[in-house]
Amino acid sequence: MKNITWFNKLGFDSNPFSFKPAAFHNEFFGFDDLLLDINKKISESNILFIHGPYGTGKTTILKRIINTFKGKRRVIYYNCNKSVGSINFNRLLINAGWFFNKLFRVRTKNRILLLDEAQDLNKKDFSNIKSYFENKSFKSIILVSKKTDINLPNELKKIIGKDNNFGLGDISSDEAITLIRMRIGDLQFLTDNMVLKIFKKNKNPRAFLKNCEEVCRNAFDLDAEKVNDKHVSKFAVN
Amino acid sequence: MRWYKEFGFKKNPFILNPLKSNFEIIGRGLECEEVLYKISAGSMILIEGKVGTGKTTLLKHAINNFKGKGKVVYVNAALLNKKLDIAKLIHKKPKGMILLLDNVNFLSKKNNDKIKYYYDQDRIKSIVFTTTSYKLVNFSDSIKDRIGKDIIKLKGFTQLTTLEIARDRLGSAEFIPDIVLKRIYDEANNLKEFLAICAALGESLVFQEKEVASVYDLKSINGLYENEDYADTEVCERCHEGLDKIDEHWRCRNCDQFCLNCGVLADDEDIYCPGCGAEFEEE
Repeated sequence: MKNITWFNKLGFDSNPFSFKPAAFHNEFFGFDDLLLDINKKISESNILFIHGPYGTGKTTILKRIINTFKGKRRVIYYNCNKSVGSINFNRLLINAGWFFNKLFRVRTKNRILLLDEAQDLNKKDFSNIKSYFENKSFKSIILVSKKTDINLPNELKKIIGKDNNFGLGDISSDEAITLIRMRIGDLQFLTDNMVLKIFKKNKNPRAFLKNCEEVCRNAFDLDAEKVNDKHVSKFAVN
Repeated sequence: MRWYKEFGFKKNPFILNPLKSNFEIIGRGLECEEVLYKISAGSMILIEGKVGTGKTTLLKHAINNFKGKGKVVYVNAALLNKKLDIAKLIHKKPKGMILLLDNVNFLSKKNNDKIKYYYDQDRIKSIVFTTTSYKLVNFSDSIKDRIGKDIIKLKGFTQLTTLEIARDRLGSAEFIPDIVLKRIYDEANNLKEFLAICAALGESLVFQEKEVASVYDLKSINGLYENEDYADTEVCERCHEGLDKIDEHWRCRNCDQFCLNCGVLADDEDIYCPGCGAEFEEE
């Protein structure tokens, strides 16, 4: 038994509108300049703050960072909503090492620390972040949060400054079209005009991609030659 | 000799466990198609439905459809020993595996977030969660946003569909007439109970050396299936004890490890409650 989907019939191996950060890593879009900037800042040793609501690309950027700096156990990923109380940075550093580091409880140095869901961090974590950064246990620390305001203490705000503060949000209509063209090429089943109409329904990147998938899937199942206004108004949600 | 062999069956036609049987899917065609599509499209979805509405049956069909590439992994969280080591589960598995997670309400938030991480990293291509109720599940907001509207809600089977299922399982055997099946449908709370009563009835027919059941035979088997009684109050799927309600959560005192204060599930190594931050006392 094989499950042949609309996107298979249109010639795609996998869902072209997948919002999963990993799915289209080679044909990246939109964040290219941002990523260059971020990677440069990471190599230069900084504390970065990346924030934006759900579905705006935080995990996608994190994934790119992991891919760029992976190998030799340089990157430590930590999801802050796992912990209640404060993070044990010492243990993180020991666990990030190779076998002998763990055996002799040697702390590793110069790691890149990714803190996902940083809105859940507390005061003690923030002051730890500062001191572990200053004693160079971590080369760079990246805070990722769904909230813009996460009660950062002033001293940490100063270290981050304006340059290392990255806000993510809705994309522009031009970016929306570029995104879709990166994914489906010149396929005229979904025209630019229709892309814009779907985009108007919801400008959040993840919601937008989900809408494109739903509209195309249903239009295709209705044997339509192209996506039209009716499909958009019926199958795209706000 | 097993009762069903008297009626010419090799296996119990009313077997309850969908994983151990291979019947056609009846009355859930659209839902099945949707699940298979969402898996192909690399989505994260949730199937929500009470006991006996066909959640595991849908997963079984997903297994049949995608098996053979060593990529489908089925986990029943209700049968796990409190902790799921998701990293171990994924270890040595190829990229792009499909995770079918039955009764996800038994997993802690911590575990669910680990699963999310592997999904984002594309180690897991698609995930199908099932639960009796969305409000029992310990998902973080970022998982909820990924699932979005991809929730398939299953309602109880209608009388027509239930009869169709029974006829499919019985094939040419006619030892339970439609009128009796309809009466069983009225008495049963869900499909599992319906099948259990049918099996009990079959067994009692053999015992009485009768060839065809009548509605009166139903009375004689009262009590035979009572241990399969699922009331519509919340019952633990593992030990069938009644659940306690703490805040929004239904918890089992035997099987769940949870905070008595707020009801959030906790892991063994937690010193503080992941929900409200209360300190746990050592047992």
